[in-house]
Amino acid sequence: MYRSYHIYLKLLLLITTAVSCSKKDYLDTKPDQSLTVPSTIQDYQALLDNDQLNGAGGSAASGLVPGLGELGSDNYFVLDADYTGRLQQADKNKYVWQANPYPGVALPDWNTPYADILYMNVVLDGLARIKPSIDQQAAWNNCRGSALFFRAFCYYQLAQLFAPFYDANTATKDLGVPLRNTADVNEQIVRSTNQETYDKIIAELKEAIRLLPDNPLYKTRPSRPAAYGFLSRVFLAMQNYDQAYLYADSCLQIQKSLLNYSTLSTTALFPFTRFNAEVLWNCTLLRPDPLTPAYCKVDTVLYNSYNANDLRKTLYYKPFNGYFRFLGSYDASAFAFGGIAVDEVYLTHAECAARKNDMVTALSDLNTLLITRWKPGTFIPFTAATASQALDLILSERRKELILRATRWTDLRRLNKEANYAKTLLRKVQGQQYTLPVGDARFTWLIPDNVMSFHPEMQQNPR
Amino acid sequence: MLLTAFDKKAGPGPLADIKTGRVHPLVKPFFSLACFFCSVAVHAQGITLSLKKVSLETVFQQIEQQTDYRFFYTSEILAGTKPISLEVQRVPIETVLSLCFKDQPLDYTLEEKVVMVRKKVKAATGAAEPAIDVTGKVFNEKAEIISGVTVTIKETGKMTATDDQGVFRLSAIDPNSTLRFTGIVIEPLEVKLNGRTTLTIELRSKVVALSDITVISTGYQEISKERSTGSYNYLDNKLVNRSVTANILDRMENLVPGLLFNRGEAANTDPILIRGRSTIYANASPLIVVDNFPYDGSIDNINPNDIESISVLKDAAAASIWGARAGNGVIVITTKKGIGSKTKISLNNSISFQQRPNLYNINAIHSADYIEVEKFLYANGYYAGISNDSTQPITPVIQLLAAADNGTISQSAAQSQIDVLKNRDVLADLGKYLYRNSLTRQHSINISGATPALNYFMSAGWDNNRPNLAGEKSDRISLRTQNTFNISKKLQADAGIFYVENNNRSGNNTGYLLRGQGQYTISGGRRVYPYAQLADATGNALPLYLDYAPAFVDAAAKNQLLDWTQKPLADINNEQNKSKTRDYVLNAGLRYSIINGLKIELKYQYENQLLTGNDFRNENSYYARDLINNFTQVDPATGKLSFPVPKGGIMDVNNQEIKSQQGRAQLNYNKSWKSNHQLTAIGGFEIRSLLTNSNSYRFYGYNPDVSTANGNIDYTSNFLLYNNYSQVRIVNNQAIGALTDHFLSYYANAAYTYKNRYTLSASARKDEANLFGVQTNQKGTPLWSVGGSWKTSAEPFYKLSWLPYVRFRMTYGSNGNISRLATAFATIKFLTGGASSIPANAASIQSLPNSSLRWEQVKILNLGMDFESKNNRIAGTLEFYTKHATDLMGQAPIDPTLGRSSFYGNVAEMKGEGIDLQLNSKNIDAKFFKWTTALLVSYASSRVTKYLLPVSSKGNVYLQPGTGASPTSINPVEGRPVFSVYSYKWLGLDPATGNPIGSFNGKASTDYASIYGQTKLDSMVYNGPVQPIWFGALRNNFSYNNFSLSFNIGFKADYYFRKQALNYGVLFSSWNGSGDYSKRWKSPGDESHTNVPSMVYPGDNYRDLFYQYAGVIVQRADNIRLEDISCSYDWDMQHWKNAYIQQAKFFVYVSNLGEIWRANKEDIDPYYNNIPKEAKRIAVGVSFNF
Repeated sequence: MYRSYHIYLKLLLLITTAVSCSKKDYLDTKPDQSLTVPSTIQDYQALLDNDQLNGAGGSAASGLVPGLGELGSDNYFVLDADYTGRLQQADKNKYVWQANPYPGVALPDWNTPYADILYMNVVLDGLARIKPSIDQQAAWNNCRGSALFFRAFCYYQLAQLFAPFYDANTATKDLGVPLRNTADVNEQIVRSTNQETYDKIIAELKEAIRLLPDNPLYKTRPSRPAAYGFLSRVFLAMQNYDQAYLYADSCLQIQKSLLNYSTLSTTALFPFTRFNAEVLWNCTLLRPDPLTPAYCKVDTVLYNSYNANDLRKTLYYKPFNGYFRFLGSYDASAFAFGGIAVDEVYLTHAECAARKNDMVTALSDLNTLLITRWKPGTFIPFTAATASQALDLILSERRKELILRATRWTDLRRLNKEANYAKTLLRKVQGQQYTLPVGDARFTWLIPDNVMSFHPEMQQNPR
Repeated sequence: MLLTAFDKKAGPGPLADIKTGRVHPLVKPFFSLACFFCSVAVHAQGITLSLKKVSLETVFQQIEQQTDYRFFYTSEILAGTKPISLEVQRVPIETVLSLCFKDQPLDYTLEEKVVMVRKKVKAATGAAEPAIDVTGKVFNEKAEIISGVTVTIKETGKMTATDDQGVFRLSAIDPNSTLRFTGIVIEPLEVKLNGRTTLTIELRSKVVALSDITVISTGYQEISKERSTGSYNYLDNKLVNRSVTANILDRMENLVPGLLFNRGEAANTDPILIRGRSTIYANASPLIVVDNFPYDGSIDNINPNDIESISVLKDAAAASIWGARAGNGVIVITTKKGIGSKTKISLNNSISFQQRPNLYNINAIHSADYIEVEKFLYANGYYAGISNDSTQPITPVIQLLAAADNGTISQSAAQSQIDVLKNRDVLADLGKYLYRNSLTRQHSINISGATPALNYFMSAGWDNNRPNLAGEKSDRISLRTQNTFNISKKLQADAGIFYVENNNRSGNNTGYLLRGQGQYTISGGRRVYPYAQLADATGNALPLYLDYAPAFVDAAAKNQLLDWTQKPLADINNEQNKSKTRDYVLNAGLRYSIINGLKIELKYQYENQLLTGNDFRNENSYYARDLINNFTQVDPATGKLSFPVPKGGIMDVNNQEIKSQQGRAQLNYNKSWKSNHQLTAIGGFEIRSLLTNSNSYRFYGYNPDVSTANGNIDYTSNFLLYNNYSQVRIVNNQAIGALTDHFLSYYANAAYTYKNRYTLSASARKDEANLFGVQTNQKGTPLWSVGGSWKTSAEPFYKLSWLPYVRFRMTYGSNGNISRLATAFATIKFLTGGASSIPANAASIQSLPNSSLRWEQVKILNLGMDFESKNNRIAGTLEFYTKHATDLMGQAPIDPTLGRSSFYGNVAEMKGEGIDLQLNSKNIDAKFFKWTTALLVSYASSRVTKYLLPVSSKGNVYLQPGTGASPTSINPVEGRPVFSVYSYKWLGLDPATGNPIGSFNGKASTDYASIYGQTKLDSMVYNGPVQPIWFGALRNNFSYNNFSLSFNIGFKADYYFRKQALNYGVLFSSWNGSGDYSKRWKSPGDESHTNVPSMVYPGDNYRDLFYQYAGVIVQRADNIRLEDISCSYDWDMQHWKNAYIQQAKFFVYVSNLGEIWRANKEDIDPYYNNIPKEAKRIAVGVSFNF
């Protein structure tokens, strides 16, 4: 009897040893082959290459650029029939700038940039734990630079919608948008001041400029010229024309090639190619229904303001049921281009030059750009007697050039501060007229209810 | 076919042939496996003797011939023995030996396979006979060993009990003692010892009441209910077979207290719950165990005819043995095994019939009313833009109205055509053409039996189902064999094979939800209009324009595109969606008795389930034509067409393979000391691995005749769709995945009983899993339970003669719940190729980092009382329990500023409590007529007690908790059940306008946007839970001779649902609406008899939403229904001479009989809220035993 006990004991011991040896491997097996705990630079780069961030891939839910600004601006209109029969209630409300346009519903224009900021925070948190070797340094720099660029871009887009226009005098009191610094879900959400918001954007872009390469591998990845171009846009939005000029200039030093529109097909539905020579960084707009080609008709006055020899008139617009719709996206798709391109930088450079009374540079920039937009041989260079005439021209061409580029809303907000250019917006729906007067509080959109409901103490934008 | 084959082979006749053929016992089991069906006769073992006045030696020789037992004796010993006569058929050797040595001056011992014969030691006459040691073995009439039988020496009161081999031992007792055998499952028996030292006792099973079932399988061990401390329910074979369904779980409905089968909308969140919900987001369904191991296949693979019994484990002590997966209770299914010495064949056939469902249960707007709405909208210019847009479909009425306005036809002609449409009714067509009467056939056969060397069971089943929905059918074939080899007295081996093949087929038939199926149309969600016609008078399919305007379809045809018309009726057969499941399970086990009371068990199971799905839409299907047309590219210069999606059929293929391996090593210890102490203990470890591989892909241009497809597809370019709205890529439907689940568990439990009155139990278990993204110390969780029971009625002081049996039980312990979704680190998932617009790897964030991740734990306290009145007239169990769940995982809504709108983590605590009562009574217990009643009443309530994440104060977040099959977001509120109905305060209709009036900031309001957008949760009305708090059933059984009748009445109470509300926005845009339109407010005064708001134009989305979620829409769901009636006639033919059939049973089972009472006054059956109502189901069947 004793002997048999002994055998069992040995057997049991054997099994136990065998089990405990392989136990660690057994419990460390990945439950899903496609899952990873990110740890390498490659993992973080893969997160940054997600289409959700660069807005490519033709999904209405992806992108960094909210469509709310374009939706509220004056370049388009929607037919009465589509308005009553087709649009969602919230889109109808946004279209006519209702005081409380989206009660109780989620707002992608808020959620998506913050979802993207989460990606950046995961990447930035992770990269901080990696000590790159010498041959990894470039990849690490690119990753960190990209993440900073993306995050600044998101904050900028949010600030254009949900924070009041930047006013250097009140910016330390005005409320900006919540800033998130880590991926931690327990982080407190509070609104920063407008000054903090813009300081953050500028600081992150300046660091990104030091890290990013001049020539990115793909145009969905940020680059140094793109960061310069974007920083000039940020300073323009702050009415800091000196800085805007300098950074536009830095961008054009590296990259200044323009497309020659006369080489493009006027019959092709989408005449531009994706990642074309003018594109510094490609990204698309989140597309609310009113901005889809099905509903979005170009403002008739705007359409008629193009010269007959202006190729943009035929390349940008295609007739549709008696009206014209915009199909000139640099993304070469039905999705609007929301990235940074050289033409915008030229226009910013020109505007800042004009504002600095440097009429020669201003007009030379404008003509350098526009000659590529006209039928060959028909372009007569623009001239101006004064810098302010030049500015008139530049601002008019800026509107005509940057259609559905997510710049118009900010331009409206900043130009409203100048008596010459301030404009009351107007919509007509079924005989009823809606207006958005200069200086109206509705130029800042409401923070969505579902965000506010988590923070009883958070201050909503005034109405 | 099968039946005739068995008729010839089976029966007692051929058994005689094998008397002479000697087969080595070890060969037999393998032989039997190999021959499967043919070897029936060989198995019927035992000793068969027919001898008259022969010498003992002859008997020994005969036995040696039939078995491999050997006798050792000398001829001297045999001298002087009496000649004997024996007439036995297939009895165990012990029985034969005891008969042989009866009244002989001889004694014997049986050791291994050797019988030693020796002379009886004669005691000195006159002196007291010397004490002897007695061992014995106890069987029932089915030759099953019985453990736990109390053996008492009548004269001295000395007691022992049989062990799990049915063996008892008494030492140093008077050879003339009388032994008394008693036990809960057997009729008492007294046996005079007469000096015998070895006994084989056959006891008769007691006919027991439902409540005191003997042995419950937990999947790890079999425990006697009498000594268990936990909460168990048991369904025996009779109850399992009471209803006729193809799914085994359905057969448990209304039979187990605390087990809730939700129906209707309540089932969306939890189809089956044991004792309420104790988790928020983790899977709340019970763990299902089939034959000792968790079952990884689909429950539809199990043929109910193979099931012997089901145990339900409800509390911590019962379930904690299953560890982390037992938090929601465990259902242990035990399949049939070979028992009894005789070969038994049984056949079971049934056929179920159900009429097509009643579509008029849907509250749909009438055609005439809808045409009224359309005319109104037309007059208001609603369609102006749509009719400009050539692609958009418009209804025939709008076409007629527009044509009359354009002067294409006269106003009167248009009107008369519209009048014809008013009388059409699409529900009639849908019911007639898309549905049919259903028919389900079930056939099964099984063969079972036992020999000393082998217990065997084999079965085959075929189920054929023709469901209500046209185009669907399913077939299931299942084969099973389970054998136990008794290799030696100490060693037993089990082996079983189970195979099932399940084939399902369906066509393109979405039933009453018929809608357009265009994949790239602008506005989805449009349903078929109320006056649509599916077929003409002769039944030919008619086209419906649900996605595109007729003019657009015609123009496309002119432009050489494929025909773009949609004929839903004809399209049913253009799709063949076939799915096939092949599942096989191999199991093996070894049991070895190491020493008395100590046994080691090894178990292993391999399961492989293959799922293949082939969804083929042929070239004529609307799906394929629509896709090809949408992707058709028109060269702007030449007008030439190209087809990026090639013409032809489209085949979607899905493959999934699940491989699971489970192994277990376990030590069992069973020991009784004297009469006072009994200990049962088990301990072991378990290893489990589950691999799931899946892939799916799509073939375009598939031609089934030659099995070719077009491989040259451009999946990377964006194509502009023909209807010009958007740019999309061609879907490649490719996916590949590999999942691995690994588990390791260590467990032990023990129960100690003192004096058959007091029992203490304890269990512990540790589970570890290959959780991803967690720290090593988070991979496992320890779980435990303790319990005790007290059989009060066994106390000497207990005197209540009217209540002869009372026992109290209590357990407390901790169960767990694994969540494989939560991680402590951020995890990312790499996207498959083609998911990125650049040729670089792309990844997405899968889960957020959560450093404070913990396992879910549920602490359960269970108090129980079992009782029986005199003569078992009333027997019952009353249980009270509380559940306290902590660290519950939840998908909780969070501020989207955090980057997600919901977050998965430990977010809540919950408390629940409940009562389960089961009462069985014998109302009439005459010889020929019996009437018994079973009553089940359960109360189960639970609420969230703590919620850790920030809570949204906005009321509308809480309006649609957990809708759909997998609720994406649940919004827990402290103090309320997880699934609750909230509504807006309703203040009636405005008498002047018919506007619904709500309340905002405490004042009556019609500012619907503010009411919907800004009402805070604390200003909302809490109506109540979505799932019933009280539920139960009352079952009456009558039997008269061989005829029996049983019917079950079920009830569910204290829960709520939302009826369908008239939504004008939906009515205007989706061609479909609620029949409440006819009850709407039209003029002042109507508010006194209706709550349906007036129609306003343009529609106000927030007004619709307010009304849809207003208090007036919420209804009580309480109902009482006649669940089923079951009749059967048992024909016992055993006393018929030479009958092959021993028993025959005819049965009729009627289910889905509808409600007896409902609480809501709107005449809505909460099981079928605005969906087609299923008709009664009638099943008839017959079963035979041979």
